[in-house]
Order: sequence, then structure tokens, then C-alpha cells
Amino acid sequence: MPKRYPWHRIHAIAPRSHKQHHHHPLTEEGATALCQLSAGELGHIRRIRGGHTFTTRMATFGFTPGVEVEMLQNYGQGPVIVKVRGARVALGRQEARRILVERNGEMPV
Amino acid sequence: MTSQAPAQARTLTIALAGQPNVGKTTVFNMLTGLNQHVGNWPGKTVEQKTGVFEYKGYTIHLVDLPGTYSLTANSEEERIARDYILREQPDAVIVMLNAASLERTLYLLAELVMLPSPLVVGLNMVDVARQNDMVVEEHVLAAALGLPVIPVVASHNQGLEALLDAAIETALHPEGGQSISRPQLKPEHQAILERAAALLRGRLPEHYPPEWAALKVLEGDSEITALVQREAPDAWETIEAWLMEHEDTYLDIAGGRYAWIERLVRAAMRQPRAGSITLTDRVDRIATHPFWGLVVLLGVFGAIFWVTYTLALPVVNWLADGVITPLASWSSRSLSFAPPWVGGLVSDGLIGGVGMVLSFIPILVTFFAVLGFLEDVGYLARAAYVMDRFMHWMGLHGRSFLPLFLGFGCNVPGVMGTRIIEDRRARLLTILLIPLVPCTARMSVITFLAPAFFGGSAPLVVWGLVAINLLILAVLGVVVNKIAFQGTRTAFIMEIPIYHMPNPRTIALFVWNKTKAFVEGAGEVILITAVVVWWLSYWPDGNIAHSLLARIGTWVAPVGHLLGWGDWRMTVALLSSFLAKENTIATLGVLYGIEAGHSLSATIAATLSRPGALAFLTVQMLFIPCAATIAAIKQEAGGKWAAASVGLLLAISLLAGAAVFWIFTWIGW
Repeated sequence: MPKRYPWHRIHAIAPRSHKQHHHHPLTEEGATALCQLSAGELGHIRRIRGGHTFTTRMATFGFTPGVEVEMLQNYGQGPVIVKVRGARVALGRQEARRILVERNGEMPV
Repeated sequence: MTSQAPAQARTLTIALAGQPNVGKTTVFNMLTGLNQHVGNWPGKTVEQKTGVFEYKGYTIHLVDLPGTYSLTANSEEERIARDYILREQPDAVIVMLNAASLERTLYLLAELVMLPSPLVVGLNMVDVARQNDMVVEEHVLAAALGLPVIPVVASHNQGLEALLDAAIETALHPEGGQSISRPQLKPEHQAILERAAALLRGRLPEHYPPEWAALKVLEGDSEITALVQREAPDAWETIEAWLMEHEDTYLDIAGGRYAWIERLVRAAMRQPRAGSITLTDRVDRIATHPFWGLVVLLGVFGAIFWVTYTLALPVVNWLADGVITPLASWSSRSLSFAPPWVGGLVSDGLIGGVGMVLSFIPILVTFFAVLGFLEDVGYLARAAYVMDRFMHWMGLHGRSFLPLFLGFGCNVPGVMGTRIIEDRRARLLTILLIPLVPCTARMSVITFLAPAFFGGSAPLVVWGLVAINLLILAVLGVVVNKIAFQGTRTAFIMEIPIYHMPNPRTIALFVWNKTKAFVEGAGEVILITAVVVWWLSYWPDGNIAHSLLARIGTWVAPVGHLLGWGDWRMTVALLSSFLAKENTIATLGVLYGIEAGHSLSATIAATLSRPGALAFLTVQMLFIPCAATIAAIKQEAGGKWAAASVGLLLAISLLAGAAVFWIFTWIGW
């Protein structure tokens, strides 16, 4: 049954290797890549840039459009730690780059 | 809670489900203790734990389902968990939630309420939640869900009887529950779902509920989609056309689950003040810091080896001198009436082999205990996080660090530990790299031989050898990733659990199961090989200098010449490390025949030049994996990969040995 159906079409255009990940710009549609948030900053997820597999996998860890995320640790390189839906989740830098968020502004310390 | 006493013992099958880090293993261990059987799911390389015990007149079969975040077909674990519930239809399913991470852990329940099995909810870690200012009102949660909710503190054995009572009650009266709350979709998607379910009714094998199958198809589940394409191609064409119009359906399904979860959490949970800083946050400022985190990891590393060697080595020596040697001489004495080969077979082959297996155990038990402690406290996830950036050089990510780490104890559990890596490519590469991690057995050989050869500079030599191993590991990882895998990598997403008090019983059972798996798996291989090697060293006339082993040694001796040692006995000792790495010393002992007044180390040191000795130790550290590791690789990755591993390491070890010999001869060291 070699018919196309939606998620496979999304698959076909989804980035596959890390080299292609850099095609995701750091800002898009007025939103920022999650990896741009510094520690303590909050934001709401606008969109997850990726194929069906990546999007559903992120969803099982709590990353869905509209949810609030808090950056717990970001040293400008390497992986980040994010608080989402009450849980701490470590994300590779490339994965964090694929999540577009709207900043809430600095957290009052 | 169970009102009527059963006329005769009834058998109930209860499955235990839950996400990772909800304390599911602790619940299972508390309920079953040593009455548990650890194996693999039929035809799969996923661990299956089952336990049978008597409780209030019932025989309970408790089945521990793999810990998964969801029930899509993305991983083997997820397929196993849902297939088990659909096909085996357990009498009840206990779903464990973590009260300190309620919102996330409810996601699996949002999937489970769509399956036909009766559910009971265990709300674990209510104590940890309270410490973090979170209070979950379980009766409110129960009312909102329409399911029984039992608060438990599994690590202190609190609430587990009530949980079991509720599970039995649910199993006996599955229809007795209130109406269960389920996640909803947007109205337009809900309509598609209902129409798709109607199309699939009666078309799929009996154990697939049409509503659930329809939901999975809308979600883009590869396995159920393939099933529908096969069983009901016409229905699939219709559904596909609907999906083309509503490409965002799969996002709405996840969104609908979280909307359901948010309603439950809002009703049942009081959240902490925003911005309160917890103990976990304070510890993680150091433990996950890019620099201090590495310092902590190195410290932990050092502590593990210090503990392993100070606690375990005396026990190993006591076993060898106090148990195995007397046993061997006793058996050869008491078998003196029989032909000499019988005594040799029993005392040198069998008892020697058993002794070898035994000598591993103290080291492994200590190593696993420390590792189980770090895992249960929640540190290992931090170690993986800290190492993630370095693992990227090899196209791997943080998760691959854990099995490599395990490999320092013994390569066999390291290879089996690669099961936590979802991506097959990353998993195969990790399996290929593990034999380069110097295990405790290899370390014990070089810590014995290095002082004999190099005296005061021995520590430097040992560190240098370990460094060579890790350097080659890194280079091989980078090269294989670049050439064979073309630099692809998978997503690194990993939960960082809250730190909590470790549970001694969980750690003890972790040690027990891991050690038992080693003895059952590797023990057999080691024993058989011990007997075979003994036979090779005995046949034809019992004098090792005329034996088959000596002939093999003489035959491959020219290779030894290239590497700086001409003596065939060194080559044979190296070959015998194939059986088990620390065999090298035992074989040298037999071949050089310890003479009175001369220690083994002094005798060997006299036969080798310094570059030759260094080359010998280098090859010993990098040589082909031991038989047990090869067996594990074959089981986890297949015979082709096991053969590739042997060939690769043979080449690497000989090349590195030759390089070391010629470089140090040239320097004139």
C-alpha cells in the first residue's frame, strides 16, 4: 500500500541528520528557539519543528504547543535542562533548538 | 476490602504499569521479594520480571510491564506493554504514578484508560511530594478519574497492602467501577474518531478494541496503521482521506490527553509556591555543572573503584587461597585412585573454572551495589547529562555513557545495559565500543603485572594503559560514526528525576538479579571454556610442554616476536585471557611453574625487555573480548557483530602492541 499519508509526508521533509538541524533558524515567526532561553527564563511553546516521530516523542515528555516551560540550566553549549509540566527533562542542544517558544520575560529573582 | 472469602485459592494475574522513575521497581520488589523470575519477553531483548506469591488466599501472578512514557509503537518496550494488556488481558492493571511529578506521569494513564483492562491507580512517593510542598488529594483524584486511587510510599512499604486489596477487588468486580473519565478530542476530530471506529468494528483481530485501534491510526501509530492496511484496506482508504484533510489530528490527541491531565491536576493537587528552590535544584547547581559536574563524576568514579578494590579484593584473595586451592588439592588427593586425567579434569578444569566464576562475584557485587545506589538516588541521569557533550563527538548521546560506565565493572552487563538506548545504530556502536572499556578483570591483571615489570613507575604505566584504551575508544567511536553512520544521531531526551533516599531492598535486588544473570550467562561459558583449555593443556600426555596448547603457542609465537616477546608461554597466556581476562595470571603460573623461592612476577620479569613487557600489557588491555562478552554481544546484536568485534579488537590490539614496542625500543627506554 504505497500511499502517502500525512505523517509520512511530514517525515519526508523532516530533518534527519544533525547537519540539517542547523537549518532551523534561531528565531521564526516572532518566536525563539528554546535553546536561546537563559536559566530562569520562562516561555510558552509555540511549535515543535520536526517530523511525526520527533513531535510525538516530545509530546510524551510533556512538550506540546501552549505549555509553559522553564529553562533550568543553559550554559550556552551542550545539553539543557528544562522544567515542563512539573518534571525536569534534559534535552540535547539540537532538540532544544527545534522547539519554538514565546518568551515570558525574565523571572524575578 | 475483599468481603467474601474465596472458597478455594484463586489465581489472579495483575500487571504493573508505570513510567520510568515512578518507583514501579520498588513496588514490584516489595511485593515479590525473591519470589521473582527475571527473563526476557519471548523473542525480545527486553527484560521481563514476573513474581508469584500468596496473598489472603489468592495466588497472585504479578507481571512487571516495561517502564514506558507512553504506549505508541515507537519502542519495543511500548509495544510489549500494550500487546501484553491487549492479548493476555490481565485481571487488573496497577498503574503507578509519581505524586511529585503527577502531571507528566499521568500521561501513561491517559493512554491506559483507552484499553479494556480494569485499572487501579497507585499514587507513589507521596512523601517526596510533601517534601517538595506538593499535596495530592487522592479522593479528589479518584472521583475525577472514576478509578480507585491508593496513596503509597513504596520505599517504606506503606500502602502496598491497600493497593493489592484494591487490585483484587477490581479484578473480582471489574464492572463495579464508576464511569471512567477519558481524554477527549476537538469536536471535528472526535467525529472522525467515532466514524473510523465504526468502520473498523468487526474487521480487526478480536483483542483490538475498534475505538482504541481508530485512535492509534489517527495518532499515526505505525504498527496499528499497518494492521489496518492489511486487515481492512477499504476502511483505510476512507480514513486516510479524512486524515489528509486534518493533518493536525495527531497533535490534538496528545493535546487532548494533557487537557484531561490538567483538569485532574487542577482539581486534586496543591502546587508549591512558584520559584521555591528545592534540594534537587541546589545539588544540581554543582552535579550538572559543565565543569564541576565533571569533577563530581570523576570523584564518583574514583570512589567506585576505591570501594570495589578495598572491599572486594580481600574477599577474592580469601576465596582463592582459602577455598579454591584447598578444594582443588583435596579433590586431587581423594581422586588419586582414578586415572590421573580424572583428577586433573576435576581439580584443574572444573574446580578451576568454578573458582574463576567465584572470583568475579565479590567484585561484581560491590560494583553493582554502588551503581544500584547511584541509580536509586537519581545520580546516574546526571552523569549521562554531564557526559552528553562528549558522547556527541562519537555521534552518541548521554544515554550511551551509562552502559560504557557499567563496562568498567564487567563488559557483560555493559553490553546488556545498552538496551536503554532506543536507536539501533547508537546501540550497535556502543556495543562495539564497550570491550575497549577496561573491566575489573583486566585491571587486576595489569595491577598484578605492572609492579613486577616496572617497579616504582607501575602506577604511571597503569594510568597510561587505561588512557590508551579510552583514547582508542574515542577515536574508534568518531571514525565509525563518520564512516559507517555518516554522522547521523538521534534525539537526546531524558528525564532528570528528583533526588530521593535510596531503598536498600531495591539495591539488594538489583545486585542479586545482575549477579544472577552474570552467573547464569557467563558462568556456563567460563566453565566450559575452562574445561576445554585444561584439556588442551593436558592432551596427549599430561605434560603442558608437549600439549596441544604448547603447539598452538609455538605456531603463533612469530606474532609475539613482532611485539617484543619471543616466549610462546606469554602468547598462550594471552590466548587464555579469551576465556576470562584474569586467566592470564593463572596460565602464566601454570606455564612458568612457580619454583621455590621465586615469585611468579620475578620469573616473568626476567624473561622480557621493558618495551616487550609494555607491549604485552597493551595487547592484554585491548585484546579480543572474553568469551562471556562475545556471547553477550551475539545475544544482543547478532553473530555478525560478535565476529566484527573479535576481528576489530584483534587488529587493534596487535597494531597497538607493535606500535608501543617499536616506539619504546626506538626511544631506548
